[in-house]
Amino acid sequence: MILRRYKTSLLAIVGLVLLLGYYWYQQPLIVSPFGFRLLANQGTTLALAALAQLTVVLTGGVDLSVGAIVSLSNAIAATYMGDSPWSVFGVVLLTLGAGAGAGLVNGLLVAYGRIQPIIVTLATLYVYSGFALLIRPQPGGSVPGYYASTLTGAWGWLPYSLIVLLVITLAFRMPIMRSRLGTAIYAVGDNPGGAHMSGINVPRTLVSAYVIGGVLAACAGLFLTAQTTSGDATVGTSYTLNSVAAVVFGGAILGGGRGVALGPIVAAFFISIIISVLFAAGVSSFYQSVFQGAILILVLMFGNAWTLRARNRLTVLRS
Amino acid sequence: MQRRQFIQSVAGGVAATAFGGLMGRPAFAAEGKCIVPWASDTKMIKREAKSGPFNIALSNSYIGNTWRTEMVQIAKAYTERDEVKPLIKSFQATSSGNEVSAQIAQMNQMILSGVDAIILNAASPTGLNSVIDQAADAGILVVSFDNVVTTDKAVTVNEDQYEMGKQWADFVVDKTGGKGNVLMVRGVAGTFVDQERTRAANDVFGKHPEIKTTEIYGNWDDGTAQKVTANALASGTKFDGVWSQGGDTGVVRAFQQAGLDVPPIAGEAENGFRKLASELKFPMLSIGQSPALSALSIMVALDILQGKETPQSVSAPLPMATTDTLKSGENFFPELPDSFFTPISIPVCGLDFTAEQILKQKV
Repeated sequence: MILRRYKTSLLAIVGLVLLLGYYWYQQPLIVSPFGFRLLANQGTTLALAALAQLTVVLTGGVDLSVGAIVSLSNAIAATYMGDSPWSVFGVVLLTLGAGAGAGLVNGLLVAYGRIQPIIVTLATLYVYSGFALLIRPQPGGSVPGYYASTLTGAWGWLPYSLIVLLVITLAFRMPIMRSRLGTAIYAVGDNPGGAHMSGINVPRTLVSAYVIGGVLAACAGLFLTAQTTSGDATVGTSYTLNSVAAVVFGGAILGGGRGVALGPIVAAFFISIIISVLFAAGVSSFYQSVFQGAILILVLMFGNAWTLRARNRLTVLRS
Repeated sequence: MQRRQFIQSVAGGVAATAFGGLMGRPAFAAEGKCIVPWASDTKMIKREAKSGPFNIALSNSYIGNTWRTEMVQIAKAYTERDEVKPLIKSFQATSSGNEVSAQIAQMNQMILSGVDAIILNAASPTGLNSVIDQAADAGILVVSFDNVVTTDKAVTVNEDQYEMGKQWADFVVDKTGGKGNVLMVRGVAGTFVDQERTRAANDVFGKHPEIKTTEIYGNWDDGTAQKVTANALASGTKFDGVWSQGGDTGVVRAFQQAGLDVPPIAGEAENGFRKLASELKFPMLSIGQSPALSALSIMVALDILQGKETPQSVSAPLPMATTDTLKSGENFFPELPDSFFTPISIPVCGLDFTAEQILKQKV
């Protein structure tokens, strides 16, 4: 039963295992406390961004403003954090609040403005990037050393970033997704009309999903700030499309209603680590992005090869 | 277009230099000296001498314009020189694109593989600071150039944009005799490089009340610069000198098309600009950001690794040429495209390259 539930994540897991195996062969030092910490830190930001994206994708939408919210959180955190533990705590809350606010605007426009999610979030992408630039016109700012080391350090072989990721996934996202709201999110994504007929408040569910997405994107921004220890209003750009890629690779369906957190998280690590593996393998800079895309396509094709043999499209849909 | 992208990337870098402690007024680039401290209060660093050969890695961000390509090619050509080769065990150049997380991954990879020094052209002036700290903790030397970083854990090597703007202005004052109309072709509004260069020019022109300046924005782009210059010429003002930050090939063409004599022009270092100067013989001063900064940074890194005392922030010599010093095949290249960046050599530092040497290198 549990296995069936996570079947969609299988492709990403197999992909990541193969990739790590090859990386280990190229760079044996990766199996060391330092190497583990690097690997964990490298994937965590995108994993959090992918969780944000997944929450929205489950409703049948897509959030193009994820990268902008990451940049905005990074700009806020690095600009206002200061040195004292209280100001750090305050600014972390402020950043999460900003993320929630950004998600709320997205959600309200989608649910009550009745505008296509892709257009709403494309527009807010520009708005939030603009705010990020207003807060931090030039790269700079700083965060205290203990903030960075608490999130990106390690205790022996155990990187703190993995704990952060686990806590956010298990203690924040999972309880929500297992609650009535979570069920409603899946239902709305699968069949909005049916959900409405079953008495689910569709607009309110949509708004909630976008707010959760915004908070998770802000978490990604906060982690990225610990990683770079500074602010840059354009730093999040790449997370928008990479988070969509991670979600799809992780087995969720862009039409909504299907997908679990495990797949996108693993896929996020795959996508983040692939760059390092290509460096380690000595692939020329010009070919790196070609390889990156080609590997993704190949893996997805192998993963879905069985659907080509299926005689009836219903079998595919039912899976 | 390529040119604009390049200068925008430089802009961030120089902005970073400025953060680096609002370092007084830059020291005058001493004549005939290669490695000059950025300011009088720049601290000197000295490491325990190690014996080579060394593993050196070049971490570049954006690739895909002429300047960056030449920069990587020159770095490779430099490491293959007879006197440098014995010092180098391995040299690896990689480009991550303008994405901070990718460059962090790339540098982590270099730290893991245990290089002795990382030569860095950064995607962000601040975003790599923590990974540079990690490199420093692992005993790896980081030398950042062009788009430099703000942390003082890294050694920085760059050209001084204020000084560049000042030298252009001094040239114009000299050629016009300190009076007349001067056309100022600025770069992209709001960028740090544009502001620094213009501030220097206004400091100089301000001392000569008989000089009247007209400012236009050419966006460091040949096409735009040609258009706005043509508009300025159409207003009927006779210009006695031009101070231009870039897009200079277009500036000269605008004068040609208007059927006017080309006045003295101080400008950047595009091949097209120098080609036209050698053809039309107008008085020209050409100074530009040298792609050989990569080779200079490797030189600085090798010095430090071998225990030589070096400034933590190096003001690189400004490679310049005037109409009289133009030499085909050496500081301009009639057979190469207009967009080629001519200052491929920094002679004061013994970094002389020919176009063939660098163009045969694979990126």
